[in-house]
Amino acid sequence: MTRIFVAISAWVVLFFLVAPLLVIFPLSFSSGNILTLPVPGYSLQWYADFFLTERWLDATKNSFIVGTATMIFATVLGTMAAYGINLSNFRGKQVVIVALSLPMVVPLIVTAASMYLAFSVVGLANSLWGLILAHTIVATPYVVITVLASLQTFDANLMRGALSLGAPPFTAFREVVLPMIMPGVAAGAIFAFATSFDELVIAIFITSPGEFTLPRQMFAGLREFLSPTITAAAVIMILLSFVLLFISEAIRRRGERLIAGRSDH
Amino acid sequence: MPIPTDSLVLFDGIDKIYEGTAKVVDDLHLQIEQGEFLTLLGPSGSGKTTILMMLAGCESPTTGKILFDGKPLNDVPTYKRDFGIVFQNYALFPHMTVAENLAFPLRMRRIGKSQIADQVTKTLDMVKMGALKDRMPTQLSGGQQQRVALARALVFEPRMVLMDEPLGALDKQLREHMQLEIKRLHEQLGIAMLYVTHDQTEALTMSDRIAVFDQGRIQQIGAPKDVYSNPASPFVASFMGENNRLEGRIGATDGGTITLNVSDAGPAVCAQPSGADLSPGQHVTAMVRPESIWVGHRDGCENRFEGRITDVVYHGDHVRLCLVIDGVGTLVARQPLSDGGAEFAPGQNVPISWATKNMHAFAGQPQPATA
Repeated sequence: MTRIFVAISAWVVLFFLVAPLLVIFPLSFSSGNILTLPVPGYSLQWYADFFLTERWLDATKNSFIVGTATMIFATVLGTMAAYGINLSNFRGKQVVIVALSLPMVVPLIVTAASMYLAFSVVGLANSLWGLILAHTIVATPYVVITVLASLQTFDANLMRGALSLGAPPFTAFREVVLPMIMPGVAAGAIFAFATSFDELVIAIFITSPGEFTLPRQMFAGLREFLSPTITAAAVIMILLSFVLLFISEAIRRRGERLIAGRSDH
Repeated sequence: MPIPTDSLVLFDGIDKIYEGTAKVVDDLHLQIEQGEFLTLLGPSGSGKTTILMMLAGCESPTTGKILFDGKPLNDVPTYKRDFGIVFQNYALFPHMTVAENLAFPLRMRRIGKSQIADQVTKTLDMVKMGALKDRMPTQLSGGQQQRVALARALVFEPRMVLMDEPLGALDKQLREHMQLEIKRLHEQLGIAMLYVTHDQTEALTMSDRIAVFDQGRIQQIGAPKDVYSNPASPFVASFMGENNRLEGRIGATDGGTITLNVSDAGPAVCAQPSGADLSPGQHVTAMVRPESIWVGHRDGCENRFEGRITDVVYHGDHVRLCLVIDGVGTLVARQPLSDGGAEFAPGQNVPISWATKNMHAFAGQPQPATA
């Protein structure tokens, strides 16, 4: 009896979480011109609009540029920070970790407004570089946290071993530490990309019309044009998120296999 | 400026202090000779692993100098020291095969591919692991991992090999087998080895010299035989194998021999003084090993008593007997067996003897062994 009850509750909660997403799918295939359910008929017109309008294509391109750059910067910085923190023991280590995670807990609107003001002073506002910088600041803590977590199980003797065998510190890190903490690094990188890819608040403050990212363009589409193309864009973003999820899961499993030993021998 | 020395390694006045702790290593002066097998033996926390890690470059001394081949080593980073290190948990790279693990130090030295393959094969054969070169470390047993770790520490022909309790995780039989293997490799290669362990049997089996550590200081250093049969302190005596301990006051001193009385009424016991001058009336601890005590009055044994067997424990090739001597105390004796131990039974009255030279007397209150 309880088993059935638990199962039903679980499905209800799952439906509650996923239902809003499901609404967007039929809407994106609507043949009508306004956002209403039920849809009058089915058509690919909004996808055609998405893929044929320069506005949307530019926004997609910008999102990939900013997302990729953010991912690279945040991953490099976050991994180095996590490794350094893990390696050393100093007074105030906890303070440093908390300070590093601040961008995650400070309300985005506060971060966005202060960055806008600060970046205006140095001429970085209204530029893709400014947005990349801002996203890197927000995304790096995710990398620090995931890499710190994977370093928890890393045996420090492996690094000592590599050094004793004649590997200079950077080589030892690249050949021994990095492969072992790869699941954490990859998860952090994907988090960083996703953070940047769907970030709107900072984008509103910092991007100018020529340099809209996808979420920014969707926001504009909703407010200014009320164009159903945003539903097509939304579906595309959802699919992309799934791809990222699968990639991170695949990397995690590969990492586990790596530690557990290859099974083909 | 290099200090002239023929030794391979010289620890010169090394202190190691971690923040907020007592000295882990206290004023260490130690030399390791060319080709020597030196064991650092001591209970955990005695500073022996810290010394190895300082030589490896994984820790740096708080004060003092380490010289290698007469040249200072303090500022040389680990990766330029060229020492083969075997870690307690082996530290094999889990994402590389056995052969890749061995090739790693050779790749770091930019050696050609074919030469790497030759050297890896040769070294794996040396530790009898050639057949498993394509396995991952996690697919190997503890003993096999140990062999691979040893091979990886030897494959690049290091200037010295450092081993930190390398056999600690193996079962007894495998451990004894590996002791002989390591000894064989040492003789075959003639390379200096520094070995850290808390297992006195290991130290006795393998070493040219043993340095016994306690509380960051060398308590005694010497050949296994010397350290075992002539311990310099009650700590060394009780750490190096089993010992019977008698406490009493000195009755008389006579050149190389003292007599002590455990109780006022009891018979005098003869012992050989160790270390500081002992004078009549002083409190002493006298120690004698179980295997030095004989049932029967043996020739050359100055201590002869009549006693009683209270317990017999059968150990296959020998028996352990609990013996009580009135006025002296309870002693454990180890007797070799020829016919199943039928000759000993609890309650039996027996003659007991041991030689003066096998009983060592130390001044003062004994230190408890912390093993």
